[in-house]
Amino acid sequence: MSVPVGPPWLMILGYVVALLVLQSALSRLLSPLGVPPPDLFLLTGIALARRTLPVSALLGAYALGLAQDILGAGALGLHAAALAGGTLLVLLTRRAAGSRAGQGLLSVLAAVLGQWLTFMFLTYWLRTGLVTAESLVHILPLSLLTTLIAAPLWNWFADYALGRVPDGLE
Amino acid sequence: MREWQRLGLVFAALLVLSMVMTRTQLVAPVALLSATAPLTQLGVVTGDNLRRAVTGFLEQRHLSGEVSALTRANEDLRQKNELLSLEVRRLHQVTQITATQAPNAVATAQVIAVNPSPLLARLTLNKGSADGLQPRMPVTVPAGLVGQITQVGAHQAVVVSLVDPESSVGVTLAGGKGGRGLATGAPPDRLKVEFTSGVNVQPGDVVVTSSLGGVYPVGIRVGQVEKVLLLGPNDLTRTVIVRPTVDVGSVTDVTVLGRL
Repeated sequence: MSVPVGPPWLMILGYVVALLVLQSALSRLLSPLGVPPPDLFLLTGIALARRTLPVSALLGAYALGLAQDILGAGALGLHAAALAGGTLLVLLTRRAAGSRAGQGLLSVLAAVLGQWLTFMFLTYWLRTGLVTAESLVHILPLSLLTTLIAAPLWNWFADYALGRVPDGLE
Repeated sequence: MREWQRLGLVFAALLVLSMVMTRTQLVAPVALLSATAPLTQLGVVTGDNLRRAVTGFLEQRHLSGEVSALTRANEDLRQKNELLSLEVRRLHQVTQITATQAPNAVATAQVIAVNPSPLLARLTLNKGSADGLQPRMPVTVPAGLVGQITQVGAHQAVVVSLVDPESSVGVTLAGGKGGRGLATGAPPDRLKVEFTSGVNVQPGDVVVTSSLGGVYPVGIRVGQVEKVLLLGPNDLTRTVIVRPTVDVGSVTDVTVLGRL
């Protein structure tokens, strides 16, 4: 199942389509319940960090964040920076921790932490109420939880669509 | 330059870029959003459908329980309605009886048992002395006379009906035709009435109670003459067979009148 069954461009296209459709569907499904959906864009940032060179992963994550900004019709750069921040922390954590057990869990924790730290920095920079104490108490834990739950499945799908992580990079 | 330093510099550059873009509130052209709209719409529709499916499933379970509860409530109400209808029918019966037969109704009662003998015609009522019933009280229905109470317990009473061989009722002909007679039970379902020989009685004549005997109020319908027996040369009375107005076998609710 982990071996891609089509040309790489087609698999990547399929991955992007699945990302967009699933992220929308999960948002629509969970938002009425007051539960933030798993951040599949962030998980994609982690997948990039596992598969490409650090700088490429960082740039790729930023581009992905820009796409998220465009999809959300918000100010450009907000999610881009946050996704890049999350990916940067994942890269640094992986470098420090090596290939130990619990790497997946650690990566998600680092990504969410990096993402929210960047959000907080931009909140301070923009002097807006983007991140509030309320959102830190109610949204962050749930967002972390749903993203943690979705991570194994999404990694499995990323392995299938983007191919397994090269040994040298892992 | 070490790799992590390079990484830091790239991130710093990207962060500065984002700071500038967010500060200037740079927004992507709508055309870019439109390009991906079908995909996001597909996700939204999928999410909506899934949510509706789950909600529908849960609501269906809830509705199923509600239907069961309402069915039970409906059944209860139906039973209550049945009881109330019965009560109304009884009260209507009492009203009719007090208006047409006698104003002194004591109680309404239900027939809870009938005598199994093919010769006797006796009924047991579900009320007794505790409800004010006494021996010799007349028992009627709006259609006519049923009989009289002969035995009374605390919560039950026995009625000897008109067609019982031990029953005797003073009667006369309705419609001012006069005549005075005594109706006795002629099992299984008829009455035999002895009139004086001078009375002009014909089949079809209506027989009602008279004051004879002092048990029944006057004028309660007893039955209709079915047959007039031939008068023998030595007969002093004219015997007629009367079909009672009330079918004792099918009476369920009766009204007990006060003693005269």
